[in-house]
Amino acid sequence: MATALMLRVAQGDAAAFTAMVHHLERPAQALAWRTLMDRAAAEDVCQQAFLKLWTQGHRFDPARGTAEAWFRRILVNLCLDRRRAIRPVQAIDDGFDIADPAPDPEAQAIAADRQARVDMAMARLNPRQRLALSLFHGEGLSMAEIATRMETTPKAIEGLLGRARNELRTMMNETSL
Amino acid sequence: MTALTPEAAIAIIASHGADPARWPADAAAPLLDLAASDADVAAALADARTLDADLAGWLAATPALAAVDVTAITAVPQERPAPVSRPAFGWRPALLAASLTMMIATAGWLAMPGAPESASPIASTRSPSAVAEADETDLVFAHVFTPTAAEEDLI
Repeated sequence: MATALMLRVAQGDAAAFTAMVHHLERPAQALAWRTLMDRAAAEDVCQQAFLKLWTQGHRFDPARGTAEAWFRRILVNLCLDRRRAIRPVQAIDDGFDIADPAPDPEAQAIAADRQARVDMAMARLNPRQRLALSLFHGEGLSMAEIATRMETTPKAIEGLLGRARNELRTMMNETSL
Repeated sequence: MTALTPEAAIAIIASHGADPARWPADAAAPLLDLAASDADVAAALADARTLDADLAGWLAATPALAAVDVTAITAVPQERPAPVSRPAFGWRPALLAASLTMMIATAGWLAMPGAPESASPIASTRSPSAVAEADETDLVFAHVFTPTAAEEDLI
C-alpha cells in the first residue's frame, strides 16, 4: 500500500502524500522520540523526514525495498545526525507523572517510580543504543534489518544491544539506591 | 549443531532479551532446555524478563508530538531528477570524420618530397630563438667539458 502511494507521491500527488503521512506519522514520532528523547528535536526530525519524502520522492526505488523501509532509513539517518546536537544526559521529570491504570495507590506509586527510573536511564544511554533498542523491541525488526538501517553488521548490532541492555540495567540499579 | 553452552545462552539473552520468539530460531529450544537445568541461565532469563517489561513500558509511553505540517511540506517544490547531459548525437560522427581528415592530411604532408628534412614535425616547429638558445647551450657545454691542451697531457 505504502509503496503504491509513494510512487504517486513521487509524481507530485499531494493527496497521496497526506495519506503517507497518516500512515507513517505515529511510528515515525515514536521512533524519533525514543531515539532523541527530546520533544522539539523529535518533532523537527519528523518534519524533516517527511519533507525529504516529498521533495526527494523520485529517489525511491521499489525494487530496493518498501516505502516504509526507505522512509525509516531517512528518519534513522536524521536522528543519528541530530544526536550530535543534543545533550547526552537529560533528566525526564515528566516520568514521575505517567499515569498507571492500577487502582492500588501503592502499586501505582511503585510502577510510576520504576517507569521514572527507566526514563532516566534511557535518557543517559547513547542515542545509537536507544535507536537499536527501539528498532528491536519497539519496531520488532531483526538484527539484520537493524544492521541495514544503521549501516553496520548484525553482529555489531548484537553487541550494541547487549551493551545497551547491560548499561540500562546498571543505571536503573544506580538510580534505585 | 553443536550443543549450546551456558555462556552462549547468556550472551543470546543479554542481546536479544527474554522472548524466545526473538532468539535465533535454532537456539530457542536448546536455550529453554538449558534454562531448565542451569541456574545461571535461568537467572539471566529472569533478569531479562524484568528488563523487557521495563522496556515495554518505556516504549508504550511515547508522548504525543505535534502533527507534521503537511501544508508547509507540499508547498515546497519537488526535486526532479537532473537530465543526463550528453553531446548531441550528430556530433560524434562529425568529430570522428574531422579527426580522420586531420590524420590523412598530416600523413600526406609528411610524405611530400618537399617536406622538411627533419623527420620530427615537432623539431620543425621550433622558433629561431629556440634554435639559437640550443646552439648556445651546446657551446657552453663544449667549453666546459672539452679538455685544454694541458689537461690532455694530464689525461
